[in-house]
Amino acid sequence: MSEPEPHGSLLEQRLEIETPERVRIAHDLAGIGSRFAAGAIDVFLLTLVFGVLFVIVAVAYGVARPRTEEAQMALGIAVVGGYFAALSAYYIGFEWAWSGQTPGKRMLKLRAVSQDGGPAPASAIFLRNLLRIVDILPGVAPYGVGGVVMFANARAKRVGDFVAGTVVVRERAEAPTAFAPADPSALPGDALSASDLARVRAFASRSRQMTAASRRDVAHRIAEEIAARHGLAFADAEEFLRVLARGRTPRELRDAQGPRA
Amino acid sequence: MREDRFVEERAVRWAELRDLLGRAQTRGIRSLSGREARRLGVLYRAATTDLAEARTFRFSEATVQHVNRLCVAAHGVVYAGGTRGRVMQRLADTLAVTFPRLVRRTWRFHAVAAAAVLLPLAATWIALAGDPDLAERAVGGAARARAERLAALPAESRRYLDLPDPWLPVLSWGIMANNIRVTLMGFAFGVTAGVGTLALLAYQGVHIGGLLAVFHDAGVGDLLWTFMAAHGPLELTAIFVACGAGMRLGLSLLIPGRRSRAAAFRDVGRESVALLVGTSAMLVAAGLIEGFLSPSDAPAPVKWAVGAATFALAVAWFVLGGRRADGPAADPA
Repeated sequence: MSEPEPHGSLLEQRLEIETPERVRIAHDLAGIGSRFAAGAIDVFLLTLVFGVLFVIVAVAYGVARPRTEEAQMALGIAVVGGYFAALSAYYIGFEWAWSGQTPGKRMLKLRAVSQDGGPAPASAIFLRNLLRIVDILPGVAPYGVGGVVMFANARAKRVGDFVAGTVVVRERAEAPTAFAPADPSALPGDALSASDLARVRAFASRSRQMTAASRRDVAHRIAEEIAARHGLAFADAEEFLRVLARGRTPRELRDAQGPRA
Repeated sequence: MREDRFVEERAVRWAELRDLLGRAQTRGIRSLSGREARRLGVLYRAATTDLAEARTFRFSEATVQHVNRLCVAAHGVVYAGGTRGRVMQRLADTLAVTFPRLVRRTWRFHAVAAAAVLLPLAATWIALAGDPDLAERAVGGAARARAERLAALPAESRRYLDLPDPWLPVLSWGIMANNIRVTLMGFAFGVTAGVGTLALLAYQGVHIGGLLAVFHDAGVGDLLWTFMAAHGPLELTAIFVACGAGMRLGLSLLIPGRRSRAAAFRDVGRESVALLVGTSAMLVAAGLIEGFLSPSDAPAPVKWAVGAATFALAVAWFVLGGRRADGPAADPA
């Protein structure tokens, strides 16, 4: 199976897949920052859990009072084993039950999925969490190995993701900031209507193929219309459109240039 | 079609989908009622159609992005169910068929893992025998102190591990969890192209060899042998299998063949899960023996017999398991 190549800007890597409905969708891959934030939340929650477990063990120790060296050794082994079991149960249990999400990932709306875009199978969840013991090396700088490996590949995969064939994606469903509101009249001057934005973007992307004369002509017509609608002035039509295409709202432009004379 | 009309007409539906998704994402799919869950499916399919439409009409990047994000989020929720279902059946299949087949197919790696323990074990034993100073530096003074303390006791009250009965379940559980931990680590360290796994195996060999040398020098070697006899063969076999899988993983990185390195890594990794499940089952059995039978007063021949029997069973499992289902139609995954 050939792997789909990541593309897009360096900061916003994407993973394109085809859904069973035969529609291509593009996952935003989670960046190193949000993944470390999710990891930090998980570590915090685990610390709470281990705090409780520590109290239980301490009470049990007081009650049972192991006197011999061997009994203390047995208890020590059991505590280390319990630590390992609780750690595995947390990561594997949650990602299995919540289909690729730990509490930290859920809070930041991240999800570990199979790199073909489907849900990660149980074996992949087992592996990616098992390999944490490699990724967190060296213990003094947690996730040192994982961090370096994540920086070194375009999809921010850690070693566990490579072995399990998984990626972590973002699942934010909220509207992107540049998205035009459904009813442009509701926010006059705040944002371009969807069709204006489309025209501005289309101009920006095609302007290089136009002759200078027609570029000036087209730019002036579009800019005139938009400026009139939002009460703006412009000196250079092409520059005005380029700024709008980059996402400045008319209100920001107005604030920058002051009221129209 | 005009983009503003398109957005206007669908905005309500998208908002509804976003709302359902928000709840499913933060509180889980179970927080939706049956009707809402079905509605989520309908809205998701509608959104995929919207996405295809927005692309076809070359609507602005902002619109396409927005619908795409909705589809991605909904896709994650709608197709989240794949990891569950009939777990016990799959586990049983793995243990009965996939695991033994895979051990047979990859036996060379397990043999190398065995050599990586047994050779250092023998070398250490030979090197340290009769040289208490070197032994103390190699395995620490605690082992020697323990061996000498045991040697000082009258023969009938000598026990390798003297543990009151109530502590046996604690010990057994701890041993189980720890052996599984160390074994899984041996596998995971395979990603260092096998070097980490080899180091871990050699360390185990040196440790056991050192203990044997110290206990034999103190004249209580039989105590250690009797203690290890019941659980040792099964436990070591499991470690050989899991660490062999780790080295196979490391080799797939070095020599990926015709696949890309990442693809080879992933294929071998996913295949290895069956080996880890199988060895974990073996280590649970070994841990029960080590926690209850090995420290008990059962006569040495019983312990040796249990060790031999469990080893024979494991070998029979590897050699015979999954044979009947062998065939071109059988699914190796």
